[in-house]
Amino acid sequence: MTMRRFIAASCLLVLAMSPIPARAAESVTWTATMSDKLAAVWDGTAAAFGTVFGWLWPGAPDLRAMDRREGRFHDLIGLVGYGIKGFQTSIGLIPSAGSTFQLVREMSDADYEEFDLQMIRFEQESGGPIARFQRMILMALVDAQTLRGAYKVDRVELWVLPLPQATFHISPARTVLSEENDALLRAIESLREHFQ
Amino acid sequence: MAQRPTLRFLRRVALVVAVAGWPVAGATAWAAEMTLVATASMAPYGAVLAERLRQRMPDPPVIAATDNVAVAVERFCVRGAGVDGLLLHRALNRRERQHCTDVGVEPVALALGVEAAVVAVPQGSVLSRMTLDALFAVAIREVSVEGRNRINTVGKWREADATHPDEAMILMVPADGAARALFDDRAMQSACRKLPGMQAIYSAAERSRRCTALRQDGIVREYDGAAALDQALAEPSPGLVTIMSSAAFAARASRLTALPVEGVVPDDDSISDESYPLSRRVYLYLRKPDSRHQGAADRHRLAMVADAASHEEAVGPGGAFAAAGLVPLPLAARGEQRAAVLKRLTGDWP
Repeated sequence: MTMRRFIAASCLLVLAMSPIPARAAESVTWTATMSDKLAAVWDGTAAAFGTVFGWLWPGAPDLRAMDRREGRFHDLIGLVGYGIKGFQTSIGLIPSAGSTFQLVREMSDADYEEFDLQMIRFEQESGGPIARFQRMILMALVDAQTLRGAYKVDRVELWVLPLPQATFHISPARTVLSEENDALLRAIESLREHFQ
Repeated sequence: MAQRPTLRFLRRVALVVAVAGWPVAGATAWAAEMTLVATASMAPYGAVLAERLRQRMPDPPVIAATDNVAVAVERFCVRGAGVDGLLLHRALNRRERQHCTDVGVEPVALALGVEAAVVAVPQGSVLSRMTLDALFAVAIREVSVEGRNRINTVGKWREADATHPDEAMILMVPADGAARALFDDRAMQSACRKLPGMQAIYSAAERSRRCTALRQDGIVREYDGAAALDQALAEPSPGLVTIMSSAAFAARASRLTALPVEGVVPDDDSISDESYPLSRRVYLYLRKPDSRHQGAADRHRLAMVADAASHEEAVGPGGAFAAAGLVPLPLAARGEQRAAVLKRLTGDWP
């Protein structure tokens, strides 16, 4: 395939992918939660990228199948206290797709125990390089929670395209409250004083 | 005129003092009392271990009990001279192991056997199976309905699980002990993870407290001790379900039936390999001897504790821990563990 043909094919593909959000939107109802909507958009986008990759590179991985295999990984990332915050996709010659997870809860002792059990099962079920990479991410997140220092991993970005990549956002454990949060805290404290 | 001591002379004196002081330090370590700490639920197994150590050692370690798991772990994983061993109803988790490593303590794990919580019903009961979700649905104090927390009002087994009979429910739960810890961790907290309302709570302590808070309207009843359990079982209702340790069940097996949980029947095989959901290993952790701070005699005593606790007379079928209610690990696992623990404790000795 010459460069001119490749660029033309890419432009066509970009155009072909434009109705994806509309298709995804059809399948979600207004009563669905925001995370469901995001998941639907992600599903459509991942399917489209799967089609594109399959056409350009017949040996490329099926993202839908990859997503199914990642079910346990997503369960485990929830178990270690991270919740999905959003998805990022960009469409172009080098498309990118990833998701952002935010620290939403501390791990309890029971969570740690369950994590150890689930990781044993995860290792037994999946031994490939991607699964190994995912386990490294999970271990890093759990180890970050065990830190008793002044920092915490409050956000993690996981990219599947163009290459698997994890970005950890580390911030001070004790930060100054924002103006809104400070006002909220004062309101709660005054309410508590009122009832006492 | 008196000659002032040279630097070389002072070095020689320091060397002689260090070499001569080494056995003295060893003798001091020998004199130090050896202590193990056990969580409250480990009291029966602590007593078994203490008896075995009394038979084998002239100066056996003291076994101290504490109600608080975090305190027990903190006493074990402390820099310098802490307690020498820890009896725990579960494995040290990743955070606790990391804490130990951070303060220079290397825990050596020895599984004494497997503890199980049996879900038992009187013989002829209308119930024939159980799920963790159904136990949680019955026992939890607050439920989340349309984003709001409300008091649990489920009253019949069919309301907790559509496949169960339409029978009024009574759930008896031990007030404490290893079976209660298993019920809280594996049934209550496990099912609670599926509730978005509970998972929205950031604090682990507050979430655990809510996820294990039992209802107080009489449907869930805590019992304290064997007498209270037998009293409840004397006149059983058709919908009565009792959570009890495997030892308590074995003592009443002629009157009770153990329900399969998540499709797994609690027997020696399923408990031993931990495929039964309400089962887990209990551990004795020993501090790996530090040759810089501990004398040879002290290290020898640690090895004697490990030897006594891992011997087939203790952990094998018909052993002391099995008599106290633990299900032994598989034979191969017991052998491998004993060899590995003794090697870790004595491997790099001079």
